Amino acid sequence: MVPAGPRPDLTDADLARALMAGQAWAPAAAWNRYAPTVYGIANRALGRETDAEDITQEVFYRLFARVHTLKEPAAFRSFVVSFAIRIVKWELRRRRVRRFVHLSDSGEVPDAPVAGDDAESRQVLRRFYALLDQLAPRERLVFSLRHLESMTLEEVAVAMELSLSTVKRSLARAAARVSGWIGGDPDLLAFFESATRGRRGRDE
Amino acid sequence: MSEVETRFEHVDAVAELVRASARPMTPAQRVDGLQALTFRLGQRRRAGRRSAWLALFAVGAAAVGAVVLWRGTRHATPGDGDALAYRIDGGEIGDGGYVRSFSAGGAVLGFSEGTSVRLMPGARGRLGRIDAHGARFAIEQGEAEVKVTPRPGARWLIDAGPFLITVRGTVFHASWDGASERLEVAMTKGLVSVTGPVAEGAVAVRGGQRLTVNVRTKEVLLRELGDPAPPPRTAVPGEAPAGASQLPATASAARATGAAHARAAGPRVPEASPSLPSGTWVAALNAGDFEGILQDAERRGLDASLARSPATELAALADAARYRRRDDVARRALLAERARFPRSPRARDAAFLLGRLEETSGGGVRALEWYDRYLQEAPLGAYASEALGRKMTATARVQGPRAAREVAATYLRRFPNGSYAASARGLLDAP
Repeated sequence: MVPAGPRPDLTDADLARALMAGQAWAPAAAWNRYAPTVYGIANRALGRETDAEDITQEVFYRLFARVHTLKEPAAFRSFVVSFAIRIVKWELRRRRVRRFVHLSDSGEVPDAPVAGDDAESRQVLRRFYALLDQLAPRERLVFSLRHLESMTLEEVAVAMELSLSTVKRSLARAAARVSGWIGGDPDLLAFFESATRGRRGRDE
Repeated sequence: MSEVETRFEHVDAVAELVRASARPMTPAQRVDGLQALTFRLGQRRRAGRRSAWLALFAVGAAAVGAVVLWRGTRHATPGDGDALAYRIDGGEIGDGGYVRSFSAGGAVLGFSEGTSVRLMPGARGRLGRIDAHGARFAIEQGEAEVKVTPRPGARWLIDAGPFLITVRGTVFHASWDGASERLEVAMTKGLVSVTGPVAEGAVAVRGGQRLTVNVRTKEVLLRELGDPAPPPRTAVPGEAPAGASQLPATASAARATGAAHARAAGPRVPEASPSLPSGTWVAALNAGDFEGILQDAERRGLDASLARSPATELAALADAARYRRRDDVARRALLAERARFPRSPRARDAAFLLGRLEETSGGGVRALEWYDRYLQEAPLGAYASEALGRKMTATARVQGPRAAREVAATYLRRFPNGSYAASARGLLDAP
């Protein structure tokens, strides 16, 4: 049997108030409602399911300790997403430090087990995430939220607590670097040329 | 198209690939993650306590003696601040505390001090209040095996339909069938006290006994576990069925008449204490000495007791009065809770209990007002399901089935598997 999903008539404000009041059922309800969202953000930003599971754990573990700081219970979803983004950013920084310490000789990152329908897609995604690993955490996160989560620039700015102009600058820098790297990788370029032609064909 | 534009198209293409490839969280990941999180949260509570000890220790050698003394006291009595941690195997806990089983063996709710509640396959239950002393668990439908670890100050309450089972340390099976309105309590060991709408006062059930209560026929049977079940029949109140002891309608009546065979079966509420030390009504309630609490309150003066007793004692008095069907005292105690401690959870619960009192005494309109007030004050409270269900049935009785349909729809939206769901569907399906 598949666990039942969250009850639709329980509002975010009700849920947040229940958490703040220490209702025994509330942590599980909050988890059931938002764990898939947090997991999705972490999975797409980091590219590894096991990391996404750990990040989701960490987000809720910290969030429950800080839920009393939530001023507007109705904004509980934004509160959860902000927490998720903060923890993902922290993880990206941690990874970057570890890479400096352990992998500076070769500059390589370990192979990441990524999802994908076929071997070629998995290979492309692995190389793509290896490219993303070269971005600074902030640029990478802005890029992920804009392009992978389809958030608006304003939403990214609010979620990351940055000014809109900073978000625009970070995004432009990240997109230019990613597209430049793709252009410099013949295998990736061939894959995306083919994908782009296919998309144009569908659009026409 | 320029080279730059082409490269940005590549970004879109890779984003599309990522979105298409990233798998969403699976139900198994969700359940496993919740288990792990619940475990970590329990650890954090315990670690918090340890940190507090370290901080206290660092205050200085002068404080050590006092700290050690306090610690000894806390070992003797469950902590008053940290709620018990729990985990669930074979199921998950959802909104409103509802426990859902998704394994063939049922769902097992395990608490950090060793107590467990196994919800049998097909059964539905709900975890309500949980604190350092125990928890309140409602069996909405079906059977549960309860193993309560004995410890000083433990307080576990099991709702089974309209019945309340008060537990200290014991092992038993309890089941409630809403369709036939039948309660079964089979005691493996220990002692529980059962209160409900048939036997006034409490019925004590001890190890090796089985209690069966049929609400429809007002039949209360207490027999040894090995005794065969009597054949189904329509009971005549007061007539003992063959092969079983039938309890008198009230426990006080049993005491008054000295009903020999009922006493031989062993189920008795403790006799009323000649006097209770101040501040012990909660302990007396846990021990099932409801009559003792009432006599003590009257000895002290009911007005003075209502005006001066602390919140916990007032709640114990209200409970004792409800269990002994002293509606006048129960009503006054509940109103005093609301007046004196208006912001407390007990004051909110009192609104629901006042509604029940009004309903049983025929005051349907007043009952509806109290249920509405409770639902307004505690929309997610432990009694929310029951209050909405009672509101639905009371509305049908007072204003007619048509008027109750809106409440029925609300009930089904909030509690699609609740104990009033069948009644709600019946109201909505009616022409």
